[in-house]
Amino acid sequence: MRTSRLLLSVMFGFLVLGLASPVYAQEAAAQAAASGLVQWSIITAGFALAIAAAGAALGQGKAVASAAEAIARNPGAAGEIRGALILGLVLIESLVIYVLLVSLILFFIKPFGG
Amino acid sequence: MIERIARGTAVACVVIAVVSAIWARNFSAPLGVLGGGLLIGLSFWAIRGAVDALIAQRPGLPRRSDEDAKAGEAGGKSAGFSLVKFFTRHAIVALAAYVMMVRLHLEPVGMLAGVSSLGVAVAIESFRDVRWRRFL
Repeated sequence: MRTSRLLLSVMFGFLVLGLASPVYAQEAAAQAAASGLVQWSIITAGFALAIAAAGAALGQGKAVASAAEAIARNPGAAGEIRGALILGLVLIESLVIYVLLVSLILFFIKPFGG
Repeated sequence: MIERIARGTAVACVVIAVVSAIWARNFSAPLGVLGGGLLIGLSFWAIRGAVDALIAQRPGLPRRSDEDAKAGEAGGKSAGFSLVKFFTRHAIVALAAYVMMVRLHLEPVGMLAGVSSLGVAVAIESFRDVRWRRFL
């Protein structure tokens, strides 16, 4: 209950941060259509990064917890568990890096203009 | 298995870089692919170091000699470094990605392709495993 409340507050914080930054981007009314797209792309990038980080954290936490439990039950199988754990963590991490790169493209390269 | 996948990732990254160089006919795309491979390699290195350190630090492992004790102390220092790497790996990867994309202007799509080299290596490894099991 407390964790979900904390999670909700963190997500609300991200929402406020995501909505606050495009406010400063509005300079001229002529660029309204283009800047709208840029705003939404930045908001989307922020949310995508937040959701990817949250999902990856949950997945990696579950993987590490399961691996620790398995090693505690059967210390002789630590080598095989280590391999599976590293592979799982790196595959989860690669998805976060994908989202990070897409977010960086939207933040800095700005393919929709702006 | 992990070493084989790491080797496969490096090979896949180089192959994708060569293909992208032939396809795009410039240096930005293959450098982007190699940059993406470097990002996933950084992440792999940090995670492997931390997991190895955590497993090596299990309590109850008997030490056989003074040399092992010295090695354990040295391992303790490297375990601390591995944990720092593990907990700061997102910052390291984000900084490296920012520098490559914004400062060095590497091809973003090439970087995404470079990050995919791990997936390619795992797919090849699993395909090889399934093929061998079928014949055994």
